[in-house]
Amino acid sequence: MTFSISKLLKAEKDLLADKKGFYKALGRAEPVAIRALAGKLAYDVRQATQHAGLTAEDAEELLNDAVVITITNIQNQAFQFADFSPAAYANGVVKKLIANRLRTKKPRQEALEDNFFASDFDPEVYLSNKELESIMGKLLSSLGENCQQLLRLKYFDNLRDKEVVEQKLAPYTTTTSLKSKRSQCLNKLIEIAKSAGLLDSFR
Amino acid sequence: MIFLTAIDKIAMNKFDIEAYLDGSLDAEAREDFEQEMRQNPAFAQQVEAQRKVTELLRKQMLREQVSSALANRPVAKRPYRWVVLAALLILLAGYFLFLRKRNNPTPPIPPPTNWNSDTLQTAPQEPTQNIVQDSLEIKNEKPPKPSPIAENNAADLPLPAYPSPNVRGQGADNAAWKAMLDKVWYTQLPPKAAKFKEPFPAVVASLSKRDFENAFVQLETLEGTSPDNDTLRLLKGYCLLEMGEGADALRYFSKLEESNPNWKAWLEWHRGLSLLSSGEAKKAILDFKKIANAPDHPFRRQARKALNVLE
Repeated sequence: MTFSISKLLKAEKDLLADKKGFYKALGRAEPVAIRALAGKLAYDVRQATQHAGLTAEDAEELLNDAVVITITNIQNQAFQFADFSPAAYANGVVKKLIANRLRTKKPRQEALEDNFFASDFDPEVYLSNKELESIMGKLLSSLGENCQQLLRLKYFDNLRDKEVVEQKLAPYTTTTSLKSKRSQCLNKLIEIAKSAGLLDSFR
Repeated sequence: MIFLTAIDKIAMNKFDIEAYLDGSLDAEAREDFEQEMRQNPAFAQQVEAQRKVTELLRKQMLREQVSSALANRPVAKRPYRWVVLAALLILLAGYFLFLRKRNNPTPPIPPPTNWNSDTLQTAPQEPTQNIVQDSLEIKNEKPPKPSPIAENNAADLPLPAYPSPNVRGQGADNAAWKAMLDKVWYTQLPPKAAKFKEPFPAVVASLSKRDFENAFVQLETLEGTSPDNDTLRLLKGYCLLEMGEGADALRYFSKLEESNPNWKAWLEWHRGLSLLSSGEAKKAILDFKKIANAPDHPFRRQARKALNVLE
């Protein structure tokens, strides 16, 4: 690895030194862990994309995708902690993504993608769902701030209803009213997504 | 597409889809739930739709989080590029200075007679109001323009104009906490669109002068006659916040936006600072994340900076 970590902040450096801590922090999608992973991957991604004849914009997108996939696979346990850094796993993801990009231009290149890491991940499914996620983001923003916040607290911050009420993170004084409002928001989103045909293409 | 009948809707109300998808149902409830799904295709379809939507939501929110975290990532480049660039810049600057000196020769400037080393030190920043008042005596000095923090569009956010209140206790931990607070203490008075009618202008004047003790006494007196006045609660919350009483400030800030929607953004940011000041960093981070993710929030940059500093 030719990338120097001297430019990373101390917190990121400390995290990189502790593989298990790094893995857990990524699972919680902590910004410091996200930055540490991206910092660790950045140079290799740039080199690999240049080598593959891809653009700087492609490199940036691939980097973001690799971070998202690594975190998702930690969260759903597809990538379980072993005695190697999550950066190595993410590097495997990057290689697969690049191979997938190249497949659209050239015949299949086995040598690029057959690696031990990230063997469980299918770039085509990921890319197809990525578009749906982006549409979902737009649908979500049409729901209004209160709904967005309620859904975020539940599905991203993973907070329990009791915590949300106790910490006054939403304008509801009981878990029942909170849950009821969130359910309304979610059902509205489901209806919009259904009528847009979004769910039929989701894999 | 399968249309939902009244019976299907009853099933949906009876069964907690969210709990099923979370995996938080007990074995018996789970068995009932799955039996209902087998018997009722419309219900099963609704469960599947909810699973898909929540999965897409989670991914999209994660994607936003990654984009937001990487937005301010320092770009790691090979150091020799910087060295070459710096050397080029120095050469260019030297050449430019040489040309300028050759074209405009100037006589040497005599050293100032009353020069002393204190002029090199950064003077502590005075409150804007004080400077304005003092300018009556120092007539040749222009008072600095108060710049609303929230509207500052400069690429790099300047440090807050005033330090955070003192942290209770002593020791390295408190000093570090205080130093951190100083970096994010972007308080602002008044909030945009706030109008202060009698008897509040006098209190606002004290607060603007950062005479919080005096303002507190004035507010206490007013609170005796009209404790539920929104303006009073806003000003007292702000005063307490600047006095380092974040927990008390939170009580005064609560629910104010319900009757004053224009104050909402201001309240969100200052509530975050109140939480931080009262040592509730985790809750403050949640508030700051919300602000940082709101595209048009006037305190978005402050929140992003706070998140960077805190994390």
